[in-house]
Amino acid sequence: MLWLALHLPHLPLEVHCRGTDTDQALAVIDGGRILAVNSAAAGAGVHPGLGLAAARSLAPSLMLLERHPAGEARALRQLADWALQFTSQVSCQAPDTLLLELGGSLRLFGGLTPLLRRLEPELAALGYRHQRGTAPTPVAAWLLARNSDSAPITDPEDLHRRLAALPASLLPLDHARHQALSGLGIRTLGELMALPARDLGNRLGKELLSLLERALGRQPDPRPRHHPARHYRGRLEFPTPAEGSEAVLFALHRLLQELAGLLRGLETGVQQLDLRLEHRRVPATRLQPGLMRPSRSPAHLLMICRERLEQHTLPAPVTAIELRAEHLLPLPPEAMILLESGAQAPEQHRLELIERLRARLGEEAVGRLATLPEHRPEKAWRLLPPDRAAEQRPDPHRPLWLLSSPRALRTGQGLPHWQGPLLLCHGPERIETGWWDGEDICRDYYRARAANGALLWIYQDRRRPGDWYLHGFFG
Amino acid sequence: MNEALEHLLQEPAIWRAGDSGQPRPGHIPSGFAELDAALPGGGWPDSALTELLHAPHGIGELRLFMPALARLSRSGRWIALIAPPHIPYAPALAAQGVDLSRILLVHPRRHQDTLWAAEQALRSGTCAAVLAWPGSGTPARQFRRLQLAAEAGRSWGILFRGHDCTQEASPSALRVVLHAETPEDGNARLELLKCRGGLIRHSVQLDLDRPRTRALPVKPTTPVVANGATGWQQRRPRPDNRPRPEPQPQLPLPLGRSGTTRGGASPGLRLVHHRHVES
Repeated sequence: MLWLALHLPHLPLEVHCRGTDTDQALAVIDGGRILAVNSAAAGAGVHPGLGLAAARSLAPSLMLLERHPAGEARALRQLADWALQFTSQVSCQAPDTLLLELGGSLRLFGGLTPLLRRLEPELAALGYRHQRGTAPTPVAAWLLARNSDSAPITDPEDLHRRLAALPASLLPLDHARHQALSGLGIRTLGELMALPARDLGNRLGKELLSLLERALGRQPDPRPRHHPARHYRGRLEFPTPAEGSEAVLFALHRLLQELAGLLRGLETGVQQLDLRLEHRRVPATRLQPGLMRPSRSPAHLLMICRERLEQHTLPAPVTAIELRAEHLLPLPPEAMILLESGAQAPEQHRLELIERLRARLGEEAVGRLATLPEHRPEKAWRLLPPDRAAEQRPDPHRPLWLLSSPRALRTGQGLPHWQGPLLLCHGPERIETGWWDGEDICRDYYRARAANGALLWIYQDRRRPGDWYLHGFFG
Repeated sequence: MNEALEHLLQEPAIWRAGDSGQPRPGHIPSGFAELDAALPGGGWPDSALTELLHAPHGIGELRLFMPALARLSRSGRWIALIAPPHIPYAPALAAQGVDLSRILLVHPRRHQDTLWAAEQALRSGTCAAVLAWPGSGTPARQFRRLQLAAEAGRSWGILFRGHDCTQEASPSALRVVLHAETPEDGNARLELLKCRGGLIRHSVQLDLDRPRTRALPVKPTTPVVANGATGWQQRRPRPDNRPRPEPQPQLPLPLGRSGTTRGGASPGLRLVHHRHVES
């Protein structure tokens, strides 16, 4: 067993502002006092623990945000979803820690260092700062993480020695018990563990005793396994409304990376995204970019969203974005090497062009051609969605251009005219068919040469002799 | 020294007279031997823009490209048609030997999206050819981006434009004007306005319905006024009032290669060229 604890000390702040890289001074308040500040506020001298009046006098432009515990819990659950790509044993420890059991994953990733090399930049890209700890028991890993001690404990023999050096202030005790500890002159876990267990239990409570036993691996410590969501719903709010699409895309990228982690963990992909941009006093903008086939590459998904977003003029600044993916479709994992080198199968490459075009021009703007077994010229072809196989039935007597609907021709002296009288040079080809569906035709088709040299495909309607129509060009 | 010469001859800017027997790398055989002989490099320039200027629809503006497109459609990459003015008719395309499953039809709603879509398609690297109808009034300087995209995506861009653009300066590698088929011999005339690395202002007679890979002697003609309607009378009985032969799908056969030792190429140069091909 090897546990990795990811402790998120700034979670109360990050749930509010990880969607933006604003330089506006922000502070989160809890119970009338400052709980967390961003770097701009810290630069102005605001620090946690300060009263509101003092904070305001230090930084008049300070924006105060109420702590949002439900949002923090949701963020932690979504991070657990994201972390499933590294191990199937993920556990949330409220309020601000994720625990990952990595024993089974080290071989897959080639060891702890390569795994961390992938995990940590991704976590940072999601907009979270973290402290990590690695140890054979979850409590020990968590204590290390709280102390920002990232050197891993891999050998259970080392547990006691390493834990003994940690300060006692890390322990999750209430204020009175911390007072009692310092009253006893105890500053480190080592000093605490040197006391007789019986006395310790009596003075400081059974929970503390049990915590120490679990930290040292002397008591079993089963952790509830996190069960992933069946669909994704991510939401980011902007403390100050976002004006341009770049700010929206910045936040969207974070959500897409979170989604990608979940998709990798579940070996799924998405084909349809649902993006809602909320505005103040104006109905939300809703975009639903679709893909040709399931994908889980954040860069690819972002490209599609970007094309779609750039087609929209936003009615007002954006106050929040919400990304949903309802249907997660099975998608087998890529080989690591392919993933890293960015190489792709040619077919996937070809589809990317279609996706890009469809994202900007609309789904119906891109299509493929196919023939149909039908004698009526206008029904002998059709437009297919780009992902369907095309049938091809050649007909050498047909023009390369067909008009979408036949155009009536002027006549003079019994001859059809198109920019001057036409010269019939080949025909007639009689097409008389379609009686079964009420759209029957009865036509004599000719090739005709116009005065300007163009070769036309025209017909005479046999039901109305003398009525000539232009139906195509031999382009 | 031979090596230095070979290096020099590989420069795309250098064109050798009589070198048109077989297309050089970076060129697409047009399927019309007379045209291949007239084009520097022995074919349509790949990874570049070709502009076709023509007045009315229906004078063979698509047939001109069909042998090359039929061949390219077998290459596994797309052939994108962007904003075509009418329906590209599937049975006729199939009859020209084009693999329909490789045709991508794009209908942008707005004019500026046409250029955008063409650029995306050219740049993507997944299109062998991109045929675009940018519409009248698009200044040619906007094609600069397309030319760069064609180079980046190794794609052949074909722009269809009105024949009133002949005087415009354009970044395209090749600009040709298509004049309608004449009733006398049924040949269309293709006027080469500009070829990168070649002679300008001469024209080629082509029978668009009978592409062939064997070359006939090329007769350079003087530049003619760009007016498709000159020189032939209406209502004159057409000599071939019989059905035209069906166009044959072009196979990439090197038919022309053995029989195309035309005059003009000095034996020394051909030898160098051969060695380059073998190496």
